[in-house]
Amino acid sequence: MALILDLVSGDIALFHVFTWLDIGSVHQDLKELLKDETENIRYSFPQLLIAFIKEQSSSIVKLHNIHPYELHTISSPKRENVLPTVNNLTLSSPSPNFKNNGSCQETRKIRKITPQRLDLSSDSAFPSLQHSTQTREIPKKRRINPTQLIESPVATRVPLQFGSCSRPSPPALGHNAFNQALEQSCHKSLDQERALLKEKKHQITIPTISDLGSNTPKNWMCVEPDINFVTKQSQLGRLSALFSFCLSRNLVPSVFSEIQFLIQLLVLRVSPAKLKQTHLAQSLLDSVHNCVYFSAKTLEQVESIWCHVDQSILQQLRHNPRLLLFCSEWTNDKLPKLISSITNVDRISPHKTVANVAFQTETDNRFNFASDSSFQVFRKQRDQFCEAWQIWKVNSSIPGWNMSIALQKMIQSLVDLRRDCVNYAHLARLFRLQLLNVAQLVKPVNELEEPDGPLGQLQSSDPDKLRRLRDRITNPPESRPARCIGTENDIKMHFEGDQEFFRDFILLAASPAFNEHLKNSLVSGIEDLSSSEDCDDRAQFAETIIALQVMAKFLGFLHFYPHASADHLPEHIFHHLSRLRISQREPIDLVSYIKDAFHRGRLVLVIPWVVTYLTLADPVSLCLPGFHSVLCHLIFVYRKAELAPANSFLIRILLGWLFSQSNFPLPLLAKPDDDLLIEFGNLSLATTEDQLPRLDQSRLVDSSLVHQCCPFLWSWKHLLAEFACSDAKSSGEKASLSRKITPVSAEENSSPVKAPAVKTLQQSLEENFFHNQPSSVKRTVEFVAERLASNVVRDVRHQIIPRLVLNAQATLKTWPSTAKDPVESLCLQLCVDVRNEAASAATSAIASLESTLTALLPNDLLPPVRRVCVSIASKLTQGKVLDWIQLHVTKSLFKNDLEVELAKLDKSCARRVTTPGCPTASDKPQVVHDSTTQAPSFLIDRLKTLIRQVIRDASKVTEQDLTDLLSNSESTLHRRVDVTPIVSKCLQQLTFDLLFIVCVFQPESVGSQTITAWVTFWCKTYPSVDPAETEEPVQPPGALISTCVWQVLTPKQLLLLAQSTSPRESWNHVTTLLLQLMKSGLVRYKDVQEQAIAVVRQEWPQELLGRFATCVRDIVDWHRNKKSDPNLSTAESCEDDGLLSWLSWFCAQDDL
Amino acid sequence: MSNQNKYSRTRDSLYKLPFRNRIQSLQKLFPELSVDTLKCVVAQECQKRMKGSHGRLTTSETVEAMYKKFTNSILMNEEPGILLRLSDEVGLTPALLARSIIERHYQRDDKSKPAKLLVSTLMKNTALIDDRDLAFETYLCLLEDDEYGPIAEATKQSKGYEYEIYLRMELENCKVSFLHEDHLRMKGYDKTPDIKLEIPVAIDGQVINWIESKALFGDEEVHRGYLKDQLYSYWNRFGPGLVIYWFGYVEDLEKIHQNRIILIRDTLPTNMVLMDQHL
Repeated sequence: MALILDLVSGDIALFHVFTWLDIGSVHQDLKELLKDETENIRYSFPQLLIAFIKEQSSSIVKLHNIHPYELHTISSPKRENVLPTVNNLTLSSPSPNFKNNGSCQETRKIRKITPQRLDLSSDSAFPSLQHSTQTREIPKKRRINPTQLIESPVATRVPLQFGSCSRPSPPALGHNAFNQALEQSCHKSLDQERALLKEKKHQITIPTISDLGSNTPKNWMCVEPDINFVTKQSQLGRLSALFSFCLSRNLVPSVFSEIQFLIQLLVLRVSPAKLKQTHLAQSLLDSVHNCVYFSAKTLEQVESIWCHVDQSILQQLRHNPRLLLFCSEWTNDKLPKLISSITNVDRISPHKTVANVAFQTETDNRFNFASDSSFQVFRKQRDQFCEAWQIWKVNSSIPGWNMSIALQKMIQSLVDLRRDCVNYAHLARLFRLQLLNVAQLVKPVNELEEPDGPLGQLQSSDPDKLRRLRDRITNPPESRPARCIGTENDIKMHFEGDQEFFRDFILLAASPAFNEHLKNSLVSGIEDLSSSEDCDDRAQFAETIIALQVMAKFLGFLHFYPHASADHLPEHIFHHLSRLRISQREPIDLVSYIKDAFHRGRLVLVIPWVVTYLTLADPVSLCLPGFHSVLCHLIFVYRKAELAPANSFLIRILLGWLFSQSNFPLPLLAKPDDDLLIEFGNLSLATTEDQLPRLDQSRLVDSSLVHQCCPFLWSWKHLLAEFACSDAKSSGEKASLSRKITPVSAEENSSPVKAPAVKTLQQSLEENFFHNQPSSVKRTVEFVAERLASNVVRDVRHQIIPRLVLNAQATLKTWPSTAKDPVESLCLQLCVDVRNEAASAATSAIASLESTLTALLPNDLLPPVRRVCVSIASKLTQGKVLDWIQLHVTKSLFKNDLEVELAKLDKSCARRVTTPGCPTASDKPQVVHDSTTQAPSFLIDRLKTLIRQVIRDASKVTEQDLTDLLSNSESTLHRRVDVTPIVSKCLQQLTFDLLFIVCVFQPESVGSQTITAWVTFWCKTYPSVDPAETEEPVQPPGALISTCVWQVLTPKQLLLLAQSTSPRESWNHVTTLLLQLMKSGLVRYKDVQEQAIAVVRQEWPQELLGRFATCVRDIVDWHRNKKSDPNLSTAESCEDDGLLSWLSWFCAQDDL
Repeated sequence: MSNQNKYSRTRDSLYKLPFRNRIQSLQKLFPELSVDTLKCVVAQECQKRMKGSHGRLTTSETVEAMYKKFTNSILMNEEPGILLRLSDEVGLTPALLARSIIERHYQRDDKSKPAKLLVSTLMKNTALIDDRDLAFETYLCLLEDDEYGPIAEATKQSKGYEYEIYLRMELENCKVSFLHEDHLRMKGYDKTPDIKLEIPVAIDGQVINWIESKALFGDEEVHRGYLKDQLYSYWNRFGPGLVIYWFGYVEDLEKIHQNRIILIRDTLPTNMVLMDQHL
């Protein structure tokens, strides 16, 4: 402390200090002051400086009170307990033992025992030159954060519709600096304070209350800063210069916190009454005037920060009355210029909504599942997942809605619907992709309202009021939506907006298997994106960064959640836990990612997610040896990494945020570079075959991305806005000032080491070939080969295999029934065929390689080089296709199809009626659809009506009607593509029924040509089926013999015939019909036999039986003639006529 | 008929009509509505009624009683149309009644129901029924029933498919490129809308990615059913889409979807905006 005071009040050129801090060379003047501790102090100097400033301002800051009536004391005792742990460490001197042990606990012990090094916090080592009070006022806190941070139990999530951003909420520690300050403020003895107060009064005149009273409400009074009352200007100037140097060189651990602190000093409000009562220790920053002066000067000098923040923050600065007063030049001149140079780009269109994860055949179709049931179950899981998400979106903002009541059952059942690794993996993938879709839509700005509307005006004039209004609407005090599990101090895992759904989904699902798969999915997602090449434009880059952050956040959540505790861990338990976890493996190798990013110039992509991941770490984790190295790497990056200004700002703000987390092991920050370097390992790791674009120097980061990645930055604006609008406020209700958002985080495993393959000479040739070509050549060749092979495989899968299987199925029908295991031999044959065809498909695909590659490869390649590329690509393509075939084209691929077909053959032939145009009949010639023909449904309706009318109403059907119907049926069945098999079958039945019924009821309308024409039509449309297929497996009880449509002599038909008014004609027609059907082969002689037997089982009128006998005799006669015809000797014709002849004779007997 | 009131009125008048030939009566009451729409409304009402009462009307006891009644009537030599009259009496549609009677007629020795395949074969081809009277009576029932039975099923299926094909043709005319169900099934999709647009189109300012054709009238119940089983699944996978109820729909159905965009129309809109494909 004394050192800083000496520096500030002395006259050593600050330039020397800067040089020392920068490169470590010590000027003579400085040497005296620093004694022999230069190197030791150098790294802790910025922290000393901060501690000094805070100490100097502590007494006045304690009095800060924006709510004159009362302080809302919401701090939780639990959390304050945490603080001393951290604070003990705060100002510890760097200990040489430090780098050897990762555990804070041990460190602490060691420090206590061996204070052999310079202890900067010790007053005996650095006796105060100023005041005796210093000896007592040992800072209890590392820094003072005068913001009153209030965490309402629920408000961390503002349930607005997607796209709106919830206000940043504080990280876990909602400790209230003010309350602490209050508690600590009564330490000094009263006498001392009084004495100091007297002294003070001599020095400073405080503006009287009446000066201010006129334009402020009577219950709100505070000291207004006045530049004329600033004391010790030169010292303040030097202090400010030192501080701003440390800030702009990123020497302080957290730029964010320090700027925050400066703004707090700027908006400091102290009521004169309080000031009167309290004794102030005399220090540099002991008055509002001095504080504001110091703050304004420093803020002005850290211009490098301001060019990366949001316009609205700059606007607040510009219009801040105190800044206007203290540095008018900056606010009136430079700031407006800066503001106009920054353009806010809103990447997210306001109307964009969260898209669902699209179904992709490559990843989601049946081939990506091990079995049909797995595929079918995942279909359900996918729909239920989407449904749960929808329900949540609609209901989550409704007061009283409880996710665990509403969705727990659904979520649990859907997650474990099939306990199978394939389903878990698919679900995890779906979960991750949906999460990424959601994350992309979080607005970088936390105000949604358009600036013109009434709310927009309120937004600019009184943001706090708007927020309170909004809170009241969305979260009525009594009925805030109950969050799923625990309260928010359960764990420090903060998720905003729609991300809550995903967190609660994980918690409610409570499925270890799912969690494991999700971890894997996130790790591989991070792996993929971290090595992403598509970072060309800002939008793409921002998308990648956000996606990485959100994946890291959920990975961190999954990994650290089991270790979270709401309690402060006592030291022995902490120690015990850290020993338990001493060899715990992280799911992702952060160190290698950081190293890799450092060497490849991709820190700007990697650091944000690494920080996000670590922000979720529990206190024990960060003290584990595994993390020690990670943190050292990060500190090294923080100090040394060279990036483009905006990129640098982004990663340093994030790292600073991480370093200011309460559970960060602070002593690490004071480590010299050299110590860290050891941690970094061999920095010289050459980056030879670097194919990824280097990003750190590109101009990809803009202020909106910065704010999207670091939502906590909004607290600067909130502080300023709060101040701006509280001028006119007297309301005592203002409880919360600002909240912070914990950024996201995640992590991942390093890629598995590939087993070294045995290289052939050719392979090394190829490797060398690519090595010496531009990297794009290799990428292009590999890409083209990959795509080409994928297309060939697709062809094989969708064209070749279905076609060959269809052929095989057809072959199965004609397969001699004596053959043994037809399926087995057919499968073998199919394998051979598919392989052959696939090979030829690959060959023909490769033919296009030449032209493709010519178009894609750099056009200055030598022709021979291009030829080599073509040959490599074709080799790769063929290899890939071959691999696929080896893996997939096996007997089992076809077995199922053929067995099903075989089973069908065994079963029934009835279903396999195919008609032209029916969608399954792929081998039929393509039919050109004729929409002028009658629609099949119309035809069915017409036939049905006609039949009904003939039977019921005896309506007249003319021969012409029948002819028309025939031609209509013909054209419908042959010239339309919308006839399904069922419809075709139905038409077959109905046309037959109609003809039969007209024959029976109106024989006069039927001529023999009509019957012949219809039978010809049926013959053509419904060709008779193979004899083998008509074997009827379903032998029902009763007389059901054949399912054939053409039933002429069954009991029902005879019953109809019995109703005929002119039986002779009717029977003639029916006999003709039956004969025609038999002649055309549609009905077999055997069928008639069976039908006839069924008829005589029942009782019938004698007259009918007589006619039946005649009919049967005609059939027998025809059959006899046919048999004697040598041209028609079929197997069937050899059948015996005896049975039917006898039946005919039997039925003709009168006395039956 | 997009008006909710009119739809309710139609339904109300429907309830008051006897079961058979209601379409003709309705046509007189609502001449401005198309026959197809009326058919759909009647069919849907009938299906809803049957869903509610089928189980109750086909317990083994009631079937036994109906079968007795039927055999009695045959013995009494009643006029043909016995089952039709019985159908009006008990409130089961003719085809459903006939099916129950057939099941009873072919019951196994242990009084269990016969194989489903047997019953449906007999329903399709009544000439195969061994009892001539039952065969004829069943046939009469099938001819009278527009909602159930193989003929009605074939008609319904045919209608659905006709409109699907019609839609495909229309889209082809409009030069819209798409995959249809069969393609999708072949590619292994787990959910297959009738049409999946390979290049999206916009209708009334809304982009759609798929089309589902429904050859019926869309009332709320029907629509909710489809949303649950099909439309939301499509939305989950492919995003916003269009469903066409060719025979009309009740207005305001789109409200049910909340924020999930699924357009409803009764024809393929002619004002589709295609993606600009000029270079």
